[in-house]
Amino acid sequence: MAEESPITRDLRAMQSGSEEAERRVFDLVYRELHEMAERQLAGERRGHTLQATALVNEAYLKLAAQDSADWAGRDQFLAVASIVMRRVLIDHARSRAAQKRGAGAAPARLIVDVVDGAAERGVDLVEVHEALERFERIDPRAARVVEMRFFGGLPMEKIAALIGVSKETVKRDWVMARGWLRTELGESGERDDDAGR
Amino acid sequence: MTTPGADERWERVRSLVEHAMDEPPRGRERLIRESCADDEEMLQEALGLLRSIESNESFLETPAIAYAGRPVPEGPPPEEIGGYRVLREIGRGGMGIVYEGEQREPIRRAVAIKVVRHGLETKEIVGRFDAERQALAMMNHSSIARIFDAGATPDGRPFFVMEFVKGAPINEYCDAKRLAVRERLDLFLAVCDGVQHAHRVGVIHRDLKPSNILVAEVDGRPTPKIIDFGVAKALHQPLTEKTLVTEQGRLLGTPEYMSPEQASADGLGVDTRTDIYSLGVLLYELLVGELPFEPETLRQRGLAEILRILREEDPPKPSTRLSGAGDSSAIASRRRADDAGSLLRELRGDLDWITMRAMEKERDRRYGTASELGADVRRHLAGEAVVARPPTAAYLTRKFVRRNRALVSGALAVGVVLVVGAGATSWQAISATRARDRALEAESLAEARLADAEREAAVARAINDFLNRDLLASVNPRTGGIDTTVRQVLETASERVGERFPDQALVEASVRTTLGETYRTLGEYEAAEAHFERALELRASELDADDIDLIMARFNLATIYEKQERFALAEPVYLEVYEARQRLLGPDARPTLISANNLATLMHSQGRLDESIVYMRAVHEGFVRAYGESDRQTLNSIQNLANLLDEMGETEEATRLLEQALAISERELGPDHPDTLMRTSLLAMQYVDLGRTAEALGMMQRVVDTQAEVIGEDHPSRISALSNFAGVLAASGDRERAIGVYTETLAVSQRRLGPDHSYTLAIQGNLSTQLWEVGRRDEALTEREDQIRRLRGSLGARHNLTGSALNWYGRWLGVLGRSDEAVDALEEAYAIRTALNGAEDRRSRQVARDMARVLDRAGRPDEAEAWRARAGG
Repeated sequence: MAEESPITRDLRAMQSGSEEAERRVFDLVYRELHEMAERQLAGERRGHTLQATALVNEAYLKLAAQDSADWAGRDQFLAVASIVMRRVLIDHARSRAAQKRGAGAAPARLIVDVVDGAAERGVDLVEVHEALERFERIDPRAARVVEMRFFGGLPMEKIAALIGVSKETVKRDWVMARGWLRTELGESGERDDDAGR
Repeated sequence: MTTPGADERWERVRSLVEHAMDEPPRGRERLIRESCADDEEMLQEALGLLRSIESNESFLETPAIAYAGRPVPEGPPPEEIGGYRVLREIGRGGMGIVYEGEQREPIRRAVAIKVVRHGLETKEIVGRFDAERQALAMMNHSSIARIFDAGATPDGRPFFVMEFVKGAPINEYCDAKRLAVRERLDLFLAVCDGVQHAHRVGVIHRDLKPSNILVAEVDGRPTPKIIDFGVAKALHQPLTEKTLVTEQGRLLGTPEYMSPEQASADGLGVDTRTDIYSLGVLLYELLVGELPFEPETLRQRGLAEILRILREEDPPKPSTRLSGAGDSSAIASRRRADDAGSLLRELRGDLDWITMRAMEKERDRRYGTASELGADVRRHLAGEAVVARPPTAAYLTRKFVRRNRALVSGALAVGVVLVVGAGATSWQAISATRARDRALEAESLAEARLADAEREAAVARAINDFLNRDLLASVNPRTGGIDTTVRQVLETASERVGERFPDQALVEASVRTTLGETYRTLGEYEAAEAHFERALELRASELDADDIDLIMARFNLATIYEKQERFALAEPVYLEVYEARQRLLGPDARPTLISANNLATLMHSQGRLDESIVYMRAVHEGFVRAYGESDRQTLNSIQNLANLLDEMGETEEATRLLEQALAISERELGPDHPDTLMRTSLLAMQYVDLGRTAEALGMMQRVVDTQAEVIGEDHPSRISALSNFAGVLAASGDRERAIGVYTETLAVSQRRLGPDHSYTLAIQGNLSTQLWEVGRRDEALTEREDQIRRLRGSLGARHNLTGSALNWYGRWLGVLGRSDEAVDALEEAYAIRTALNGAEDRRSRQVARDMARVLDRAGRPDEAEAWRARAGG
């Protein structure tokens, strides 16, 4: 049998409650994802918008290459990865905002397009992140769902399996959390700051 | 539903709203109001949450990662950009915004202004924007929107100004005008011509679709204009387009027009044939009125499924789509002049084949170029057999009968013609087909061999692209200067390349090839040689002897030997490469012809003109046969052939060839294209040699004027044309004007290339000579002395330009009676000339002749005699 890779060992230790192992996993995954994300963002390949799951899978395969068939370890990894992904993206957004402030430009507000040419709405990643921190204090599980789905890019089924609740529950959490966040971000009114047509 | 650790108040609000959500929408608010009758605060909170949930279905549905790297929003449009008045915004993409604007000076016209979005003026994006601007500037075609101007806003965002096309997307135009198939094909052909032109200058659009092809009416004639050309590379999808969003993430681009290779996982290897595919989709849409893959169906699938469909599924043929879809043929015919039945007949056959050939999944099976696609459509319109279809006897006969319908009057006649026609036409077609098949066979064989290497080389290409685009792009001396940082980058890359790819010999070989090519461009042949040599070793250790990449490595090395004038080393390698490529790729493949061309040039350099001409003619004929007379390399081969013939004394044929090249260039690229101007200039110089100075003068005047208009007064590319113009003026005897033009050229050159650049110094020398000739001797001497001082400082004493300058200087000093100084100057000139060219060289002997004259005049006849002997009588 192949020797366990360090990350698999740490993931296992993490499951049995080792904080030391958890920190190591977090650092390792952060470094990896950060580097991968930066590389891909710098490349901005057309038709290949970043996909969180793809990045995370790539990172996992790379980090745990020797025994990648350990699927329990993989789930554990995914759970960590969505937290890490959130950190990576927020750090990225903040550094962009800092660069722009340095250049004397407008603060970073990021834009999403919406299906079928509906109005383009701005969402500020850092604002979402900060609101989510507040929401964590009043509904930790629903906040975790947002983290896994919005930042980690995981599908509902996977989130349900990782948290250990039904898919229906995850869906309700998602709907409620979105409602709360939207109110918190003061976006329930009409707002089409950009390309509203 | 309780949530561990949740806030109690939130818990209650949440549960209220959850219950309400189980109700139909209308009853929800009432339910909440009933439940919170006594708690106004709770009521407001719950209602707020409910409204928030109901009001936004899509909030946060796009994963956070898709937001990363996005631009900041744009404010209201500025009043003006770069002196152009901004009227309104007409479109925007992820990176750029397009405004409609107005130019007032020197002419009033509507323009489109494209500017980089706020917050995106990063080095990379600006670099790409700039690359696109340059690409656009290279294109000059009636089917492509033209670029007028470029610059940067006060806050540093680059912009460019283009022709404003007032028109509708091509598909909407065709339907609105109810155009018949033939008229639609005419428009499509104009689009093909435009795409071909772009490909010829190295631009791939990658996002061809109706909304990027607008039809404007020019003098009452519909003219398609491709807009956003190449911008697809720099700018993301305009957000006004429907953009596909899936659960997993976001797919940029318009899947309906996306080629299979664009839809494939690696995304590498997109080339000009990607545009051919999109042209196929466009043709389909113009003919059928529908897209090959139903957009609604496509959008209902998941991302992976869409990509799989694009990669694997064949859409129905246009005619099948029309006949199968029930009402759709009626719909299609309502949108045009044709009735449903005749439309179906018209599509079935050729047009089906042409469309499907352009849309082949395998790139190699598509048309190779846009002009091949266009040529097949033209063949269809002319009633000739199309290439897209394997010619069966029945098909060819049908074609023959249709083409010769006038002859086919009676039933009997039909029978006769059928037999005869089938025989003759088939025979011709078959021999043509055989030739084509052989070429295809060789091509597919070579492709198969390449397939393996290609997978490995995919990585290498990525690295190379990085090197080419990000690090080395600025090194092309034709587009810009060489700066020290680029050299540093090259040196760093050279140092690291050896360790960077420990187990990837082929990757290292590719990187080294790129480095070698760059050093070659810079004229640093030793450094280039080292990289090419190592690349060859690496490939030789990994690849079969017959591998194309290995042969390429040999070829590269030979080019360096040639540059270093180590002809004896270069020749056998070129020969070997030429033979190998003939065998592997066929005699008419581009690489084969290029190696033959280099072989011929090599012989030419060694003065072996009779041998050279044999190869040169074969190369020219090969290019004409395989790629047509308007191909860029065909034109180059004409040029080479003309130079050679001229040198052999075949002036008439040489002149005729130069005239032919110019005529093709004018027709295909337009009169203002840089290549056309270059060819006009070359022909003008030929006319000067033939004593046809008046014609030459007019031509050079036109070149100079056009350049001033197209690229601006102060552009470095003008320098050589201006200097040629001055030369022609001098040859025609108009020395005063020649001096004026030389003075202007010198100023441009000093400003743009620097006072010590070899071009600048050569021009300064010419100016000095003309000044002397008209008797302005003091000025002539001042310019000459300044030139010589600068030459010593920059090019060094051992340079032919220094030799020439000293020769003139010495001669003039002799005339002025300053013999001692004259002798010093001429001695130095002679030393330089003989060291560089040998004592027998014409230029060395010229110095000796001048020296003899000076010594005669100084009353030193013995010495003069000795020098006369060196001059060879």
